[in-house]
Amino acid sequence: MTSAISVDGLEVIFDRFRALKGVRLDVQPGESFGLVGESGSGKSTLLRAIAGLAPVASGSIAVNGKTLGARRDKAFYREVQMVFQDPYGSLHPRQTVDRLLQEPLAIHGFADGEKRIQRALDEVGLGNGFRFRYSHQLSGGQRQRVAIARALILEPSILLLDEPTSALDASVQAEVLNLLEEVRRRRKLTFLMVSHDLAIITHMCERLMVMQSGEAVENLAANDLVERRVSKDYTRNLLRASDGFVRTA
Amino acid sequence: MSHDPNQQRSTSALLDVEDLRVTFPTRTGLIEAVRGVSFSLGRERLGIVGESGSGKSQTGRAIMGLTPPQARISANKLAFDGIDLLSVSPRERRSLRGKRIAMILQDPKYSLDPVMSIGRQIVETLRTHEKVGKAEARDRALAMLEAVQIRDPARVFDLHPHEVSGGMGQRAMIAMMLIAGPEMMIADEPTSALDVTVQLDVLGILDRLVGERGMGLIFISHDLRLVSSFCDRVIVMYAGKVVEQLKASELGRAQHPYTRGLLNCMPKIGADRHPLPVLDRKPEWAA
Repeated sequence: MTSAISVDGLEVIFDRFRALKGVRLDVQPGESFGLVGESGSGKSTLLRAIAGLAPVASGSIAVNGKTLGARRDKAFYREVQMVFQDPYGSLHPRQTVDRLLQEPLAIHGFADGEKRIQRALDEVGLGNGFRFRYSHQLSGGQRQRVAIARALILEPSILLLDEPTSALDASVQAEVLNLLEEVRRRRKLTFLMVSHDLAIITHMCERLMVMQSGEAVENLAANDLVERRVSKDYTRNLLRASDGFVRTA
Repeated sequence: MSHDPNQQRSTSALLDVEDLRVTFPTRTGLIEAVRGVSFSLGRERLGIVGESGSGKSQTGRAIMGLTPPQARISANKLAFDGIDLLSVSPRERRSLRGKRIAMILQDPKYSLDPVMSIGRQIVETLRTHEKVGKAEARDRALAMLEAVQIRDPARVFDLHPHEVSGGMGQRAMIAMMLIAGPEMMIADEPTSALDVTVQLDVLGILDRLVGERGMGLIFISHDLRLVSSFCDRVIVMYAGKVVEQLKASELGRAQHPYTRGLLNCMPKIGADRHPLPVLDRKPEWAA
């Protein structure tokens, strides 16, 4: 079976800084794959490199068996869409939800916009009442739902999720995570999800890669984390930290 | 007045808050951010937990005296070590702030002065509140940087905030807040901007220093689990009110549906719950 996403020997260099140092990644169709690590580990850079938003110096990226060039074409964005971390920054402040959702449709020349917008809004649980609001009239959770609707409206097969809930309250986070799982099940999507929170990754993903300073530390199944079968100290530290504060007497 | 037995009790508490209200006038009417919060703090670690808009930060700011000027504060009692914070002069309030009550903010990137070296900022705090010579102030600042486990204090002393990492910046912030030897510290999401592993280091430092110096600590956070692993007692706020107060060790026995919902809705390693339970907000919680 061809991989949904296949990355090999990927190097990303910002000026002289090597943000990714020869990373390999393989995500199967329909799989949910997690990337974890601390800030600066390169997990978001990897996601952005796949989306065409980071300067790739060398290495290859293939999506659904097709190797990507330096520029992403329109067909790529019909297959791959991204949801960003900060719903306050990723929505245009002077466009209504309707306008925001029309943008990708106009770019890709879809005629049945009306129907798609209604369906996308229904799917993320917003309904028509939100259609003509501006993003500042929405809560953080509602904004992230709009961002997810915008990603879904082109019916992609792969979603790149960059910390989609880290700007949200815990109770809203649960709602958005549930929504993401639901659309993935319904549309048989492939997820590549970045988070610093191991609990979120084990909840959402089947496999994951731990990253540190631009390199893969280890590849694990979510179950390995649950049963603490990890081989690297770095991962063990992350696991310990996610247990919360322990007072040393 | 000092014969009043209640007064006697309150002098043993560091901070007494009774029916605190913070109201903001807006174009569409008054917004009550804090609606009748009461608690007292001894030399202990108290956590205030709530989601955005619950009034937890405004409670901390009101105690610190950092509420924006257009807001109105009222309280039956807002007393620090027997001093009525609502009736003291701005000048006295200023002398308390930094000297006896300190506050740590969320993100060192924004709360430190970007154009002043870290060392100078710490020395400035110290010399504002105590009469000390330049050389002694420098020595004490270096010692304080060492106390917050900065390995090379002399080097960090001369660095500017943009030259250090988030964890290092937050340590410098803690050093700055502790240098005048405050009796009470308010920490508003002190570790939310940090990586989890760095978060634990910073909490460890805070824990040790608060314990050693016998300070009272108010730890404001959205993270119920983190707070309960760190604090002695937890106050849970919702829509400007305290919905529940409990010992951190008894969090598992929380009564209020909001507290329980908040605990439940977080993904946990090893708990296979699909979908996650979500909070069903009841209007009567805010009543």
